[in-house]
Amino acid sequence: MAERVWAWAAVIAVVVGVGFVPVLLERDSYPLSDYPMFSTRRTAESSFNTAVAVGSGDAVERLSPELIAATDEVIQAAATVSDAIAQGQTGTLCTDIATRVADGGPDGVVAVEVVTERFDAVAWYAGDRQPLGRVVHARCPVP
Amino acid sequence: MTPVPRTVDRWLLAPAPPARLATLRVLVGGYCFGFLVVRFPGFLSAARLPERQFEPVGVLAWMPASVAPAVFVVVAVVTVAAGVAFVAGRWWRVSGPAFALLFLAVTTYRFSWGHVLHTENLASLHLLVIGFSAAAGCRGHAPNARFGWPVRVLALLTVTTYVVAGVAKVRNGGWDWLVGDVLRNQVAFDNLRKELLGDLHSPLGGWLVGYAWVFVPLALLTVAVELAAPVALAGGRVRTVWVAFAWGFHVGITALMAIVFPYHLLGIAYAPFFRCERLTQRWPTPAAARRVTQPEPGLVSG
Repeated sequence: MAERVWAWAAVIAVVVGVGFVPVLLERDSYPLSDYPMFSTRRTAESSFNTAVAVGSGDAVERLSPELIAATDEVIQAAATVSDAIAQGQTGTLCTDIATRVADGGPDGVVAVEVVTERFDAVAWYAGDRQPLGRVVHARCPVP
Repeated sequence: MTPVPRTVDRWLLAPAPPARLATLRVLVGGYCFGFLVVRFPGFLSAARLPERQFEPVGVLAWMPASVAPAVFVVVAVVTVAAGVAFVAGRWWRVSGPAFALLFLAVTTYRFSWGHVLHTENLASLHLLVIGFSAAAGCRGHAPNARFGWPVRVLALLTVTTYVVAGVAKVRNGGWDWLVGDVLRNQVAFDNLRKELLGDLHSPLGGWLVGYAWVFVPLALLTVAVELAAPVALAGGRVRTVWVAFAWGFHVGITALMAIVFPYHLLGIAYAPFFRCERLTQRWPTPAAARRVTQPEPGLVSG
């Protein structure tokens, strides 16, 4: 009898707690989530917050998540940049990145820029790699 | 009891051998232990992120501030040690709940720095069910409902997460998600973000973005697999077919977006649907397997 009670309690907890509650609350958390990934009504045009290395001829070079945010996870790196932009801390982040680039980044880099770039992602893969817009939030020299 | 609850009751409380739950303990516990060990450097780097990025979620939502990295390291090491005992089935009354709760705490802390990943949700939920069930120290016991219902709950958890994800796509993306360019744009966006942030991306996904028509059947298939997940509880061939599609869905995500769901790709997420205790028997013949294992009953087929 006790097993039946525990079993049914667990089933109800799963259906309600893992199923209905996250869906009704539209809440993305951990470990309970409404799994919103990939579900956004996304268009081809999107803005991307990132940081780039700038060479002597103003050539832009992409930086790794490790150099951008001292993490190996790309979404964490993106979140770090977005967070700095939202909180007006891009100067601090830029300096941190420049220090990491000086220690172990690509050669020939003269500056780091924290930027928001707008691209047509579908057009990018058709060969059109020009940004539709570009905002430089911070620029700092590489020591 | 009316017919539907009676059917569910019979399915839920069908006896299962203790070896099935014990095998799941080793599979799920081993995965979570390995995940912690492999991702340990990433966990440590997250713990050193600036305080301004700390946004506690889930069971840690109450935390006013992050803890010192050294404290996190100690908790993570204790969690790994508990994981060893969990997988081995030693000191189960302590190690079972301890590893399940510590793994939840450590991974929640990891995901409390500005973004939540969804790759370990199911593993941590499975671990909680196993950690609080009779998944160790029962060798030699006869098949019993006590060993059966936790396995059914694990299967139900897998199914529920798929259904919720399917509902989110239909609700957030609507008709456009099913027949429009939403999936194509998502694949393009995700790969481009990785390129712009200097990470590994999928050249196949980028190339396929040029062929819009491909994404309509892929989108329909994705939502169909997610919303049809409950059929897996029926058991039999329909379960096997669904698992094959669900696994293929994660292979597709890996191929097109370089996003890896290791718990699913390794098949552990689907192990509760099968007589997984066969894995612990060395080369069983079909006849021998029938003798020593109980069937995995479904809601419909046995």
